[in-house]
Amino acid sequence: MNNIKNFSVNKKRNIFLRMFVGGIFILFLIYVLGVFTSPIKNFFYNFTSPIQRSFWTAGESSSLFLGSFFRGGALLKENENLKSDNQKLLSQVAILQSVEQGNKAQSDVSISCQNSGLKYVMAGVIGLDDNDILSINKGSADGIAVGMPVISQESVLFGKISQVYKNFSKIMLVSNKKSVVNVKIQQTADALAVDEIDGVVKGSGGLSAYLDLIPISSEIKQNDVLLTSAIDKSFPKDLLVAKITQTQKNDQKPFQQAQLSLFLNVKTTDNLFVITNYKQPK
Amino acid sequence: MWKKILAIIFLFFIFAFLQISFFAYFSPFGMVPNLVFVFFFVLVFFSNKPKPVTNDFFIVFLAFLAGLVLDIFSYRKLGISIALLALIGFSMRKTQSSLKVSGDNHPISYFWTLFLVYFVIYEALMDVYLYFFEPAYSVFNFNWLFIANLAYNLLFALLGFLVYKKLFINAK
Repeated sequence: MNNIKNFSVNKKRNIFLRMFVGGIFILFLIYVLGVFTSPIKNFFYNFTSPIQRSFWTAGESSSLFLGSFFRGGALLKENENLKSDNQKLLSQVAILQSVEQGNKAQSDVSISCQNSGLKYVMAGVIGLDDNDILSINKGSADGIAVGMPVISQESVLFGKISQVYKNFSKIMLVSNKKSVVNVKIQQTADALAVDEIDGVVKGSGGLSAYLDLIPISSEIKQNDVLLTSAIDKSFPKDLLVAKITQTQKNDQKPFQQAQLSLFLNVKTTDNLFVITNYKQPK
Repeated sequence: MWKKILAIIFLFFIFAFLQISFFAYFSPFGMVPNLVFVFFFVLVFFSNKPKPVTNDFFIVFLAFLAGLVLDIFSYRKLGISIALLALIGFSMRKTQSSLKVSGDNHPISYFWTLFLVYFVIYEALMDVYLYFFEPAYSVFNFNWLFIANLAYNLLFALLGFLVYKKLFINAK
């Protein structure tokens, strides 16, 4: 009887000892892996980058193919909306053309001043993590550093570099819950006078974001376009960010909010541009 | 045995590539299925029989591999997923050994229930880790999007369950 009791106590001790040793081993492993995170990740990304790129391209082709089946009705409606928008825009273009000639010289100068000296590094998109973080195939070896702004070919702001390894980097998208971007609102073109309202775009996850901190007295409306402002100097000014889809005004609150449709579209973007020499305040 | 191990390693990497690159195009509301977790869960679920239970080494091996792959291709530091998956693997073994089975050792009702429970535990523990150790990426996502994400992952898990059962359990 005593022997059985001893055996049971020994067995329990044995299990406890194994769990203890196992736990210590796992903690040690985490510590060692944490120390060598950067070279290990870089090593794997280096040789898997072409494979990831192939999977990315395959995903794009498949989504286009399947999308044509599933989104037939939606595309028809979208096409009608686009036609109607196009007609409105054509009439506005006619008005703007006359104004444009007078402003051309001035705007050319301001654009060249604004864009002068900005250097870009083109990078291929290779993956999308959860929490709205995008991977690109360029890293510190190409001159990329944390905090650099990332835009698309159409000057749409995607976000900023959040992690850099030797041969790849991670971008925190504008839609990430930790992202806050200062913006100014460009009113839609029925009134040609440009009225600037300042606010901030906050990421809400799931590739979406909302507009916040707009004074309750300011008039904002659907389809107003948001551009980066130069207030905090994290990003160059006048980059496209989003369009207002729905305003949310409550007179009891000091600020109003709005739902947005971000211009960034991960699914139609193969290449992005990292601005490598934009000076940020320290 | 070696063929099986190599196949598992290969499949973990394939699922990681599918998860971060291919399924980025099939990500409603930015939700990306966690295929590596799903594959890990399916393997552990089917390897745990009522008696005898799986050996420790196999669970540690799967947790190490899946955790490493998950962390390599994410923004996190390496290691945390290994610890969480090891915890989940051993906890699953304990839970499964205490569940009553009649006839079918791996009923689908146990599978989807356990999957939901352990997926929530994994996400919650990961958020706690991020909150304390990598606050720049800490986002508590317990809202409707999380529920939708859970359902989206369950869909892939059930698919994995059916495929595994058809190929390896029913074929025996």
